[in-house]
Order: sequence, then structure tokens, then C-alpha cells
Amino acid sequence: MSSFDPMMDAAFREYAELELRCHQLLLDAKDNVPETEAAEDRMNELWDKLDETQRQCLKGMGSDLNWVRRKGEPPPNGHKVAEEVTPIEQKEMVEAIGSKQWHKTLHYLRRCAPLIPIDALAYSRGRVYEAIGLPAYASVFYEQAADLDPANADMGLSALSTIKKANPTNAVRRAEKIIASPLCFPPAVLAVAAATILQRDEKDHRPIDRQRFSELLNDAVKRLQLEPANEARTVAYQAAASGFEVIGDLTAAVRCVDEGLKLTPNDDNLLVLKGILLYGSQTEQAVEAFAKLTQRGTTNVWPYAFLAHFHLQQGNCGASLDMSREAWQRANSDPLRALLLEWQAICQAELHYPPAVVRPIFEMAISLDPSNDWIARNLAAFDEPLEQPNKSKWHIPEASLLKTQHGDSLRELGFVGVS
Amino acid sequence: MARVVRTMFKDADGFPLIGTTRRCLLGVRPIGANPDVELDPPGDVNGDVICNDKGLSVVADWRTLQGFQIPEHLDDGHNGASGKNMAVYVHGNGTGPFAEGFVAAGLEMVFKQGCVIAGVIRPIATIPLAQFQADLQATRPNWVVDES
Repeated sequence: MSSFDPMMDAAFREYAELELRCHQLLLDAKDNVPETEAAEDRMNELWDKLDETQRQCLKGMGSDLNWVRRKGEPPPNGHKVAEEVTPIEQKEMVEAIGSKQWHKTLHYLRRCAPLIPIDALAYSRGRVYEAIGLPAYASVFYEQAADLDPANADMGLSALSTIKKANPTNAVRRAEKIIASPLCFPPAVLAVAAATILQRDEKDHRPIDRQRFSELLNDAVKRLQLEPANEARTVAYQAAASGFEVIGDLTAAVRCVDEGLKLTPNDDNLLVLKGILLYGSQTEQAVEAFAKLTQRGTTNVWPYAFLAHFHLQQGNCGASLDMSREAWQRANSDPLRALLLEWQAICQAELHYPPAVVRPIFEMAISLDPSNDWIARNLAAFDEPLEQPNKSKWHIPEASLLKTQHGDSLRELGFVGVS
Repeated sequence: MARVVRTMFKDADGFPLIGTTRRCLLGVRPIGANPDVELDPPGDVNGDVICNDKGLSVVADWRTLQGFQIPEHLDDGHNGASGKNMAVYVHGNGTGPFAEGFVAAGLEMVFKQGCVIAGVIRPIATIPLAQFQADLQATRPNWVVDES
């Protein structure tokens, strides 16, 4: 830990949040409103709890935000021209970046600012704040970089992705700005922006202008073909596929995934998306995509979960059990964990495991997701005094229902690769 | 005379803006979420200012202040200075070391608890709030812009 590295404790983080809030209020010319006063009073209280390193770091962060409000103009009382930057400062900056000493990097980015084009400086600050673990700050600088160089797809995608992590509402606001002037932005950025809004609309059950978004996405996809093959293009195909899926154009969605796979044939996210899109309609192809992923041990939970579901429906309880156990290790939400446990319990019942083994698994599944009535019903079916468990008595969701139930998590797939 | 520094909003004539409702004015906030003084009876603006370690905040050097307390034109890229329409004022053009003692009629400076680089200007004795505010306002011509 160098002298530049502050203890990022609760007081530091709260002060940083308040500093950012004050920046936003100043942007809105609200420097003399009760909210600003209250924030500054709280900052005063926190200041006494901060050590000197924390204070210097937060003051530097404040200057970085001032620079955004000045639209990249140099600090009025600081370095303004390249000649003021010493060779030692340049060397220190390069070394700090090389050794990933991020707070030191921020310091020397300030020292060496006159040497760096402002769009690159904004982008670099975004990267550093993201690495430090301050995504809300990162999004401010990524957004500035994207505004300064709107034709740069990487900057545009980083801005949207980071803003979404820090504040989904702001991400939609930025996406709306992008689709309002679609030709001003690279097609990759347009595709991700359209998908961002569509996913929000679907999640919030808002009316969707399918015609408009279909045109936007088709336009983005056509323009994408003229772009050089790069990561941004792959991400854009993935986002476009996700967007087409929301507006119900499965054919276009799959076409986008296939275009993306032509660029990066082994992209996990695209293969998962393809499997999910095809599952239920062209299930064999979906299973093929999922199997390819599980064979190479993908960290993504969905191939295992869908294969567990597929095998369960086919009555291959051994295979389903194996897949749901693999999925369990990778599951990241309690509703999904509950579903996987439920399927494990059904498989075990079918495989004649003792009730003393099966019943607790049903019970654990219910405790993980009490809102899932079907688990309780399957437990009741398990308890029915039948001679043999009967497959027909189980409730196993259809493919479409499975996608609906876990829509929020699946929607995230459209953005997994955007960074 | 001690060099006593306070950053304050600038009035049209270049002297500090007088007020009692917000921070960085020449005057103390007597009530609200974060009052600058303690009153007797508590919260009564017609009451007295208790002579303790509360009052009008001052420092030895503006560089030790938080970003929002420093005038924005002093931003050097590191200090976070973002205060709008503010200036750094020094009382009485003082050049001596930051030390406790007499400031002006009825006023003295004492250090904040456990600190020798920040203090408060307080009444010399317990006096009515109105008198304390008037004493502070009377110092207005003595505050000189000095951003060194």
C-alpha cells in the first residue's frame, strides 16, 4: 500500500458519494439549495473521521469532477500546458499505470493532464475509477469520454455499461439520447442503447414501439457489417439479438447471434444466448450449443440449468441430476437455486432415493423461494401415498415459462460482454 | 496579530457577505441541523450565545479546508476547490502565527478541540446572540482578500 492508497472505509465511501452528489447538484446550478447544504454539513462531520491520505485522495477526486464541469478545461490554479509537466512526473505516471497503483495513477494523471488529450484523459480516469471500485465515478468519466468522442464505439460501450452498473436509470437516459440521434453514434453503441431501453421496457411492462425499435436495430445491424471486426461488434450483435428477442423477432435475434459467432465462434455469451433463443422451438440446436459449453466447463450457469431442465423433461433423471448439481455450483440467485433443488428432488424421487433424503431437499427449495408455489405442490405430490412415484404428477415448467420466470437474469446476458 | 483565515462568499463590494442562514457567511448559524453556536435557552434565537468551543470557524491556512470550502478559482487540479463566488479572507491583514487571543471588540479566537490549525471566533463572554452577530458583522471591513 503506497502513500497514495486511502483506506476505503465507510466514511471514505460516504464522503465520495456526497462529493459526487454535490457535483451533480452543481451541474444543475443547485449550489444554494437545502440538499447541497445538507450534503456539505454531512461531509463536514465525515471529514473529522478521515485521515490525511483519505482527505487528499477525496480532494483530488473533487478536482477531477471539477474538470468535468469545466468540460475538460485545465484547473484555473494548476498545470495548463505540457511544458509544466516534468519528465519525472511523466515517468511516475507510466510506472503507476504499469504497476496498477490506481490512486497513484489518478494523482499523476492530474499532474500530467496537459499532456493527454481530454477524451483519452476522461477515458483513462473512467478505467481507473472502475478498477478502484467506484463505478459511479467511472461512469461520469466514461460518459464524458463518450460525449467528447461520440464516434468511438469502445468509449460509447464502456460509458453505457458502467453507467448501467452504477445507475440503471441514468443508463436509460443516455440510451434515449443515443437513439434520438442514431446516425451520430456508432452502430454498436446504437444497438446496445436500443437493447437497454427495450430491456427496461420489458422488465417494467411498458408499451414497446416495436416498429421503431425494429428499424433502429435493423439499421444498427446493417451498419455493423461495414465496421471492422472487433470486440465492440461482437457485443453489438449480442445486444441486437437481445433487443430483437424482446420485440419478438426470433429470426432476427438468431441471425444476430450467428453473425456474432462468425466473429468469435467460441464466445460463451453468444452461445448461451443462442441456446436460450432456440430452446423450446429448435431445442436440438439449443441443446447442442449448451452441451458445447458444458463440455468445456463454462462458468455460465444457464447451459447447465437448461440441460438439467431438458433431461428432466426427457425422463433422463441421472443426467438431469448431474446437470442441476453443476448448475447449483454456479447459481447466483435464490429463485434459481430453489428451482435446481426442486429438480434434484424430483430426479432423486424418480431414481428411488429414500424419502428421508428427498424430502429435506424439497423443503430447502421451498425455504429458498417461498413464492414458488409449484415446489410446494411437487412436495405434496411426493407425499402422495402412491406405490411408485409417477412422472406425470410432477410440475415441470415449459421452456417458455422457464425463460419468463428467470427473465431478469437472462436479460443480463445481453450485456455480459460489454466492458 | 494572528493570521486568521476564513473562506466566505463575496459580496458585491468585495467584502464578505453577511448572513446567518448558511455556511461561509460572515455570521453564525444559530439554529438548524448543524448550528455553529449553542444557545441558552437551547434553540432560542432571542437567547444568549454560550461561550464555549463553538462559533465562527477559522483556520490557519485555507489549504487545509475541504474542496467545497475553497474558492473554485483556486482549484489546482488536486485540492477539489469548488466554492462558487467565494474568496479567501484574512482578518485584519494579520501575519502572525495562528494563536489563540483577541480578534476584535468582544471577540476572541480559540482553537478547536485537539487542534492548533483550526479554531473558532467566539464571544469573550456569554452575550445575547444578536450582540454576537453584530460584533461579527462589525469586523466586515477588517477582512481582506488574501489567497496566498
